[in-house]
Amino acid sequence: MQPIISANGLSKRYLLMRSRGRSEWITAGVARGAASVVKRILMPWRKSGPKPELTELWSLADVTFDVNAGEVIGLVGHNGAGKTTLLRVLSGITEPTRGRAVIRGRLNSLLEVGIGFHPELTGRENIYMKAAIHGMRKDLVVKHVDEIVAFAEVDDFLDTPLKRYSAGMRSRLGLAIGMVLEHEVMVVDEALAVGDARFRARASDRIRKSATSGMTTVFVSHDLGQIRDLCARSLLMDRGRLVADGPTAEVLDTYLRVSVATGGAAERDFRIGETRHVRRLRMIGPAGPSARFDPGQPFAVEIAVDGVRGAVDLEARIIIANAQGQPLFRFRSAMTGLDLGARDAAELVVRADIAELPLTPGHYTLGLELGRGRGLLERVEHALRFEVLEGDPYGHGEAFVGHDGGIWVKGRWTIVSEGGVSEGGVSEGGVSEGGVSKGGVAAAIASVPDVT
Amino acid sequence: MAWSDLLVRYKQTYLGLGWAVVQPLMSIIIFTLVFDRLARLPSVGTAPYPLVVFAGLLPWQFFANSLMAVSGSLVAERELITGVQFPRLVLPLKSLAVAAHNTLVSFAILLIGLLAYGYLPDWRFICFPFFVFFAGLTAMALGLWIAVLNVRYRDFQYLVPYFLQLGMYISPVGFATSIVPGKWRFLYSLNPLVNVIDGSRWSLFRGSASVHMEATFVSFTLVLLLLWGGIWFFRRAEGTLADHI
Repeated sequence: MQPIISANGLSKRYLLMRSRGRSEWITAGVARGAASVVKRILMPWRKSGPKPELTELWSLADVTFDVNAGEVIGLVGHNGAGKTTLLRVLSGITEPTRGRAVIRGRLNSLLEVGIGFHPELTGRENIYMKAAIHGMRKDLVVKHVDEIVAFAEVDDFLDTPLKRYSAGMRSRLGLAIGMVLEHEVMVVDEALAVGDARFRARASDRIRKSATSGMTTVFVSHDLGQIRDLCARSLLMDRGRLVADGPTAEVLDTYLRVSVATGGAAERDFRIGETRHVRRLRMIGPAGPSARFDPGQPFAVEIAVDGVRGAVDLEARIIIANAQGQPLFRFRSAMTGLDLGARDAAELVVRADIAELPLTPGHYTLGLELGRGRGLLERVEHALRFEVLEGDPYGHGEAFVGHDGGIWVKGRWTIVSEGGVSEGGVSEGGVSEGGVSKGGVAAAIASVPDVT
Repeated sequence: MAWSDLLVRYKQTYLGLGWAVVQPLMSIIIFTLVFDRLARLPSVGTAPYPLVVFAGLLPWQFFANSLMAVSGSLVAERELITGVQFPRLVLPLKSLAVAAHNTLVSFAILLIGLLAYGYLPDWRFICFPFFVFFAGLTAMALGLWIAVLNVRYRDFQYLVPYFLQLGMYISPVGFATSIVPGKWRFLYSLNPLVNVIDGSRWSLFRGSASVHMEATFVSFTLVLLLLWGGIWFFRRAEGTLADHI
């Protein structure tokens, strides 16, 4: 069987122009002579030889892969890695500079959910309009209206102008239209992250179900949990290149190992523009800043933020995720009773202390959220990477074993009775003091539900 | 899409479709005052001056509205172009369709005006739609070029209104072509809009306006060439519009 998507050597070059003044433009034009001006006007998209003021940026560089019908592919990578460009090229919205993408079927692209909506038109009118933009005949859409409405949960608002919809309803409707329309391939950019948890779960179900009937989905998400959940196979992009293509678990592992570019660093500074409020993040062990910790030892995180003067209900949260990017636990400042809100200083350094690091040996990432009430001001996922070393938190010479999972809990084991077990009762041996248990109680929690 | 554009246009307005009536009426009144009452320019044959103005204004406004809309059609739908794949030619065509709809409203008013003055056209009337159609074609021919260039150089969106303002006075919208001296007539008629307007008056006023045949042929051929080039230019730019918009 032929693959439904064949991408062959896809490359996309963007020319970044230094900003030039108007007069400079005219001088340049005159200098190049009338012929080149005409050429410029006739072919503004053609590059007429290398010009010093242009910088090349390869947003896609020689990307090659095949996708078979029915696959659900996750596309991961940092901002600016070329994920969106890849989806755009696959959708045919823009042409690749080199290479070729062949899609053997109808493709539906959901790059921005709100596209094609008109605020003055009603929900129903917008459904027809959006479907028309996606190249769907009206009589075919009519059959699906109920399904779309049920999926987006906007039943009562079908004949209300879209401008009266809440932002959530609008994006649910957009996604619902895209998902219900008939097609063989769907590319989704971050759009699956809209709506509440329940809606997201429904969207995931729908994708899974469509996959069994042969529908192919390629989607970008920063929610690694969702990718792990939906995709058997993932692609990892870095600076325009396809750096990994394979089973999701392996690709995510590579992603977190390679692209959390802070191997061994105990702290990370954020440039302005990179983040809005978070300026620095630092991990501190018993002996000072570190990226290696012992299980059961103190672990602290210092966070410097700015631009938060007067913000009320401010809260900081740290999120520890395992090597596959799956969040294990989250530690919130508000829960401990600390009120960060309404401070007069523009800059704030806060510190989270965890008395005994409850992690088993392995690699983890530290993420951060700045919240305002229940909302989110900023999220920096997988900002730092750290290692938990082999250790013996109970001091009895027993090591953790492989299937201990990510988290260990402190506790104790005791012998309740010794000897034969009599008829349901506690036998005569009595309680023997086992002390702190031998071997360490490493509660093997194989999978902790997503905290996101 | 054109349908939804129309639907949206008059939502939340009090006069609704009335605006499509008021706009040309105001222009007719002003032109009649200035060119007929003040400047005392000659009419076309025996036709009442307001009708002469209207016969010029209708194709002109179709041209002007179309050109404005087509030129801006790509930039106006920036979101759509960067988000969805579809034949981009749909956008200028949609703009043209919306402008054509307004012209239909004007046309209805023109018919009422003709009846009100009791000045009924003869068989030549069937040619009228052709000339109006050509006004749209001219707008499309220019508009396709400008729409694409506008994506890269937004200067065009400022140039087009000036161009149209100037064009309105050098085209015989408010006056009859007969005031142009004979030796300049050919040169003057190379402007396709001159022929479109002359043709409209010719077909409405029982042939009493003269059409310069050679110039009409030359200018209409030029328009068709420009249109063909515009489509070619548009299609080759289509694939990379999303990168520059």
